[in-house]
Amino acid sequence: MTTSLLLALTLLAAPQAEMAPLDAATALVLVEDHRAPLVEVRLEVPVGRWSRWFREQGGEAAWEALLLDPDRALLRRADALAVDVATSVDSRACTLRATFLREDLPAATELLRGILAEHPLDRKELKRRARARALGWRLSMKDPSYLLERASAYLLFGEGDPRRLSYAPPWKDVPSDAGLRAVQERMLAMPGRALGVAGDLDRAAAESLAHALLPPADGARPQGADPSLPAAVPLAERKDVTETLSGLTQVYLADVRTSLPLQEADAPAFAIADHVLGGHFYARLSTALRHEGGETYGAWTRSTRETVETVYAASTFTRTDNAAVAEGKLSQVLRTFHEGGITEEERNAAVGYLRGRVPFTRQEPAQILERALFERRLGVPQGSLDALVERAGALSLEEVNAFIRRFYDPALFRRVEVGDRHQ
Amino acid sequence: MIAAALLLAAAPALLDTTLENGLRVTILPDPGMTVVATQVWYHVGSADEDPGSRGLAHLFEHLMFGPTQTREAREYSAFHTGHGGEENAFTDTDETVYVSEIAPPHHLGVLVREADRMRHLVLDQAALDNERKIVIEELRLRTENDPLGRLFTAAQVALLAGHPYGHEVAGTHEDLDAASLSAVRAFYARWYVPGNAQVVVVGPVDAEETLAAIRREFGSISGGGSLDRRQIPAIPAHRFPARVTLREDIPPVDVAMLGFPLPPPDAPDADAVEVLLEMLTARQVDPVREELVVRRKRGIEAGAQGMVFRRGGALVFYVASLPYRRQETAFRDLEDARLALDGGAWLSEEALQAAQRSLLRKGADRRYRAAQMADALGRDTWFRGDPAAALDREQRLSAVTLADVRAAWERWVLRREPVRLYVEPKHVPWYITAFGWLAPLFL
Repeated sequence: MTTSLLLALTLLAAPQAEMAPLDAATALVLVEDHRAPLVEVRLEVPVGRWSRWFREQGGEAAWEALLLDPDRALLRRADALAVDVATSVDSRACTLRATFLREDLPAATELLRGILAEHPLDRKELKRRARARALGWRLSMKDPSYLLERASAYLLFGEGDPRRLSYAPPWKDVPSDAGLRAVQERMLAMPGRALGVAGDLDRAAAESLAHALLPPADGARPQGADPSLPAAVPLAERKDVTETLSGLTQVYLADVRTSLPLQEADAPAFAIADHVLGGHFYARLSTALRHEGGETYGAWTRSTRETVETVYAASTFTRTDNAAVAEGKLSQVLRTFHEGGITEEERNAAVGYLRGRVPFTRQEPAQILERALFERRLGVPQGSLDALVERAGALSLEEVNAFIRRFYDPALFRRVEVGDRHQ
Repeated sequence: MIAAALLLAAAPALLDTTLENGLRVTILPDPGMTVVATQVWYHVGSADEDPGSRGLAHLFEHLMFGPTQTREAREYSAFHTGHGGEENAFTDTDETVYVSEIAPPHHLGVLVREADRMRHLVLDQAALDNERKIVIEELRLRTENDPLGRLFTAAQVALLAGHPYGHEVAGTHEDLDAASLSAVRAFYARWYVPGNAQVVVVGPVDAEETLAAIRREFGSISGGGSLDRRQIPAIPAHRFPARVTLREDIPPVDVAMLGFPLPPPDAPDADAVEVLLEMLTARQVDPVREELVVRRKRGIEAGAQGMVFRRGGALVFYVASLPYRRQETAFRDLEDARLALDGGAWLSEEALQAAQRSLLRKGADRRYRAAQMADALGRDTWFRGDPAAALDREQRLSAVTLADVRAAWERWVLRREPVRLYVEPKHVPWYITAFGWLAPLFL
């Protein structure tokens, strides 16, 4: 019981993400944790690949160019200070992240100010990086798992849908210097931005850092900056897909449909159902396809936590001459799941799993910060992910199985295959 | 450094002991963590396999998730999943490690189950046949159907032929097909004994309570006899081929690599080598890339990478360029880069201090995660002979001087004859063959 008490106390004492407005356009998200002399800073601006404005303006190049001045002087300064700094772009946001030792706060602040200030840009380096990325993408196109995901996304989302972008050739066109700077300026001043600070810093120091870094916010959001997604391809127009990759000795299979958005009332039931079907080593899929017959090394479900529809897939792979067996089992598992639902024992185990994950989300301050920023990015209330666990725990077996009958209807799924068996 | 002092002052007390049956037990209680990591390190890996049994260590790792005399196969996993935990394992050249993460107090249940499968695993023909099929599917996934996987395996086999590291950990179809029930039973009896294992527990645990549980569960298991372990030569002592050329289905680029064998982690200058790797391979402005891609325009991408195993490691310089250049030219470019690096800014007092601060930052970050700490403790026990090396690592690396790093650079890189590996694409479009030589104009 000693350790049980210890855990309860630890979770109570675990740092929380505190979110407060810094000004009308900016949130400060602070996770104060003094266990280690480390600080992580994340500046997040609310525009990403799903924004038409962002794509048209060359937003990816502009955001990457924040770190790229001639001779990479900013990155050399970061190396000299042992500050780990990086930019990233996802579907809804762009992030500038820096991690450093607490005692380097003044120097790191100056470095970040230099990154965010207008500075000469290294266009050649941007192009070099784009060329290297293009090579990486070409290599991905020889990876059957990547091709399976790509074909699944292309089946569900039509041409021009930004949800295809993760699988498209990476950007290569670099706007003019003036254009890059103008886009950077608009992005950094965009309302809805957030500065996240995690680690060995108190509120006063975090606020001081935020004021030192952020340019004044611009009240207006550019037209077309919000994510703009067309409807998914209608069910009647979705066809099974087979892609050939010559030389493969395995066939990669997925049964796919659109996912359930996070804010839907059925999201807690989905969390339970998905865990039972494909979320662990002895889930239904893995039991049927791996443990009972050795058809495969892996069988699982896959989806992205989002507030819009993305891809939901039940996937596996097997040796080419065994493809028909694996196909049959994949279909059978889904059919049985849809018709029979789950058992009380499975429901209880899934709820135990979801509740048992809570300590895993509180291990380090940067992780707690990311969770808070993630909920903010999606526009769901803070604490939604934890609340979903409690809502799942309150569901009866009948409620979960009623959801399964609606969501897992085999008629809603399409089969995607990547292999070389039809050559 | 203030941060180093703070970090060391905050380091929790390590409990490290060996039970009478030879089982090493290492416990690091840390009340600030929210999850308990339990790892069981068996000191056996692919390097211990004999010809004809390639892949046996990895196959056996799979079999350890089978039934015991009192538990069904799925019980171990169900225990973890039902409490939100995670269970897994990995096999490498020198070790097979079973990893668990779970919220306390369930880690005590993990210990019960780890002891159970160390003593009472059931090995039968049906389980072996099924697991063999699964492992071969994994081999197909990771090696046969992945161009990079094929490439790494081919390079490993060609470069390390004759060395115990010179074959793929996952083994071969032929050897896996030939693995018999008697062979896996003999493997279990020989290697999966307390005298060849270490239990590492890290997290918000009571050290004495955890040690008592380990004594109770593992203490009565017979320790095992003499292992008669094969001596694995250090990597720098291996006689490498002068050059290896491989062809693979990769995008149309040639990749030239110079490899410099490095000493084992328990060598006298291992700390200096670790700092050297940080200075050369972990910078955000890679000195090799700067020299070859930016300054000389000799490739599309280039860089330096390090790797470490129990009996040594390697530092690799690589450059990727459009396939119009001769091998000799690509290797000469890399050689020139090596010479140009000597005396470069990356090897200065300022760069050393930056690298040491970077290592300190990474070390501090590792302290948050029970699994990472458990891995570091297990690794340093097996690789360096002392789990405490994981805790005073930052202090040791902070004591390395520029003269130490320079000596390591000269000894292991500057004055060494490197191993040469060249990779060519199987298919090159005609326009690259015809006009690739114009590429430097656009780099």
